[in-house]
This record gives sequence, C-alpha cells and structure tokens, in this order.
Amino acid sequence: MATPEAQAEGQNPAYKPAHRHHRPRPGLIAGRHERGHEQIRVVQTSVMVGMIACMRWRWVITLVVLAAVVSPALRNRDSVPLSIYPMYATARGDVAVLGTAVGIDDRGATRRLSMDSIARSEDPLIAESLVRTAIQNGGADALCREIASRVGDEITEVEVVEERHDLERYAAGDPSLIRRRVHATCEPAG
Amino acid sequence: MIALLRRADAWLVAPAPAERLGALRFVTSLFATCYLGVRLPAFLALADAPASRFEPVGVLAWLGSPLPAAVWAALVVGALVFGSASTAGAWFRLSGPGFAALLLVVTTYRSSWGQLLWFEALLVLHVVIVGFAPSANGFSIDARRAVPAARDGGAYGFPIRLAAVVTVTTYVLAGIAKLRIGGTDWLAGDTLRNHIAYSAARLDVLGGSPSPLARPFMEHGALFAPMAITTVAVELAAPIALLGGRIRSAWVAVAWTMHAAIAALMFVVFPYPLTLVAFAPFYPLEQLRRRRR
Repeated sequence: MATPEAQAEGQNPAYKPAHRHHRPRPGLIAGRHERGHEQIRVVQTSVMVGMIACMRWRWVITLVVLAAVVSPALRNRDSVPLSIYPMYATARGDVAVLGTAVGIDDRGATRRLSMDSIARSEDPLIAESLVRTAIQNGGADALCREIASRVGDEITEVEVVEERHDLERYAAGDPSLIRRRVHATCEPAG
Repeated sequence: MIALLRRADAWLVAPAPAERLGALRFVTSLFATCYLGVRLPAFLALADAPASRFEPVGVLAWLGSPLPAAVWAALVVGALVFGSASTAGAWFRLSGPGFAALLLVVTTYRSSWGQLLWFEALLVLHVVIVGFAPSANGFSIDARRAVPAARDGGAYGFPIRLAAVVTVTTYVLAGIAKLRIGGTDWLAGDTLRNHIAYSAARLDVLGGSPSPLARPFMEHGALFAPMAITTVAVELAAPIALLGGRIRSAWVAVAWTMHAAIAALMFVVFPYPLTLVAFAPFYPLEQLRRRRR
C-alpha cells in the first residue's frame, strides 16, 4: 500500500516533497540544522575563494606567457620558439646575393645542383642559409667537399659560389646574373 | 576601464567543455606528430652535420657541442612516440608535458644549425599550452578508461583562450617586425615584389623550380602596394579574431588567403596555418564532431 505522499507524487508530476527531510525542528535537531547551513556556507565561501584564486592564477599565467611571447620584440633578439617573426620583414633591394653550389661537367658546362646534394634538405631557406653561413664563417672548402661527396659521376668539379642577381631583370624574364664569385672549388672523390 | 577588465576576465575564464580542449589537443598533437614524421629524414640527418655549423639557440643555447647521434635519434623517436600518445590522449599526465618538452627540444635543436625556423614557433607554443593543461579529460583514451576528476569549465576554457591569445600575438609581432625592420617603405610594395622575385631566384639557383605564377604576377606592379598594406593590416588586426563570430571567421579567411598566396607565389609553405590548425583555438571544435554524428 502506497503512502499518501507516494500516491500524490505519482499523480502529480509537479509534486515536490519539499522540507520532508529538512523541516525545522525545535531543540537539538534545529541546532544541527543551523550548523549544517553554516558548513555549507563555509564550503561555498571556500569554493568561491578557490575560484577567485584560480582566476588570478590564470591571469598571472596569461601575463607571464604574453610577456614571454612579446619579450623578443622588446629586446630585439630573435630565437625559437620565442621570436620576433621577421619573415619577409627586411627591406629587400633590387639586387639579391645568393649562396649556392654548382657542378662543372666534363664538357666544362655549369650545372645547377639539387638542394638535396647541396644541403640534404628540400627547404630552400635551409639550403641557402647553409651555403651563406659557410661562406661567411670560412667553411666554404669543407662544405664543398661535403657536397662533392654527394654529386653524380657526370660532375667533375664542384664550386661553392655567391651569385648576384638583378631582381628587376629576373622578374621580367631576362638573364639576371650580374656576377658569380667562386669561394671554393673541389673535385668529387673517386 | 573596470568594465573592460571585467569583460576581459569573463572572456579569459569562460567555461568550455572538456571535449573542446580535448579536440584542440588532438589536432595540435596530430599535426605536430605528422610534421615530425614527414620531416623525419631531415631531422635525423642532423646527426651527421659538421659540428662547425652548430649554433645553439633558445633552450639549448647552453649546449657546447652537438648531441651524440644516438641521443639525438632517441629524442626524435621519443618525440614521435610521445606525440602519438598525446594525440590519442593516453597517459596524458606523462605524454602531454613530455611531448611538449620533446617537441621544444627537437625543434630548437633543428633551428640550432644556422637557420631559425619560425614557422615551427606557434606550433610549439600551442603544444606546450595544451600539454600542461587538463587536455585529456575529454575526447581521449584516458577519459574512456576512467572518469576524470570534475573541474570547473574554466579549467578547460582557459588554455584554449590562452592559445588564441598567443596566436594573435604572433601575428601582431610579425606585423610590427615588418614596420620596424622594413620601415614604412615596406608598405610601398617594392619590398614585397622583391621578396617574391628573391624566393623564385633562390629556388632557381638551388636547382629547384620556382612557382610558375611568380613571373606573370610580378609583371603587375600596381598590385604590390595594396598587397603589402593588406598583409600588415591583417597581421596587426589579428586581435579582432578574439571577438568571435563572423569577424573572427573573416579574419581567419583573410589570414589563410595570405598564407595560400605565399605558397602559390613563393613556394614557401607555412603548413600550420595553411591546414587551419593554427586557428583551431578560435573555434568550438567539439561541435564539428557533434555535427558529423
């Protein structure tokens, strides 16, 4: 046999047995109830304080991360992963100086070498930078020998060079080479 | 001012479901792991590079000499393993920070050979943010194994917002760099045209094939000044992407078009933004998954 409350609950979906277990009672039980409310308030306050502390920590983290990301620009010092992102930022004139390596075949003709032969990379940024740095640091001879070990039999000589190109003429589709300066020459081993 | 700060505070700690951060972890870790996998030969080839070329930078600036080949190989392979675990969201308390640290070390080491590779920077920053956040409490193997401890939504929303802030900051820095290094002349367009010509000529002298679009495009000199102004404007205006909605999507579309134009004209590919993963923090990624269902 269902209780009257259970019957009412089943018939009326809106029925809510509010205060069934929390009805204020006199004496000792009421005191427990007040202490319970106080505990809830303490817990709520602690949670709020915790959340505010979390929010502050999140702001601190945000500001620290932002300061770190922006710091290279403030110090004008590029690095990774904290960078000034200077891609294409330099003012580039009409003349380009490019480091590369060329091969000379048995008929004396100059042949372009692949990036893989020059730098073991397919990235032109890495390949050109490698040659340029080697020329600047006096490592052109060592790089030449390294490249010579990777070229095919048809190449009889390798040259590490710096080429100056007129970009206006290049853009127009005209021959653009102004000058080629040889920094190192070597022969493939064997 | 106080109202603005309150709005900024509400934006920064806005709650998000665990699945959104989980989806961000998935796409960033997947991209980084695939990137390492595709570039594996180039990474491993550094083991044979002459020590004279070694110029340590960033967190490895203290290194006096190149790493032994076995250590370098272990780091690269370790990054791939941790990256796979991070992508799946498995053992994330270990794999998340581990992958972030390994990716930072591996990419920094690669940039320590004479050429900084800037396009890896934002990827690393995103992986670090995601790696040190509770990013495997949704959309992960860890979440399937055991119900994660309940957290407030801000714990999931905050790393996403932070990644978004970092994204726009890097674009603003790129815009500032153009004006600071190139000066206002950069906006005249000649520098941009010369950069396109330079990239094509560089590929030519290195035995590669320049973009077939480069030369025909360079004949239209009048286009370069508006293109240069648009480029700098898009970079400096990046923070508007944080507003969300159509403004965000419009900015992302224009920024993506800029990267696509660079790829088409210069054959210089920035894979992270081109695959749109760089812009993932701007979007509620978990909704894409729900739509697919």
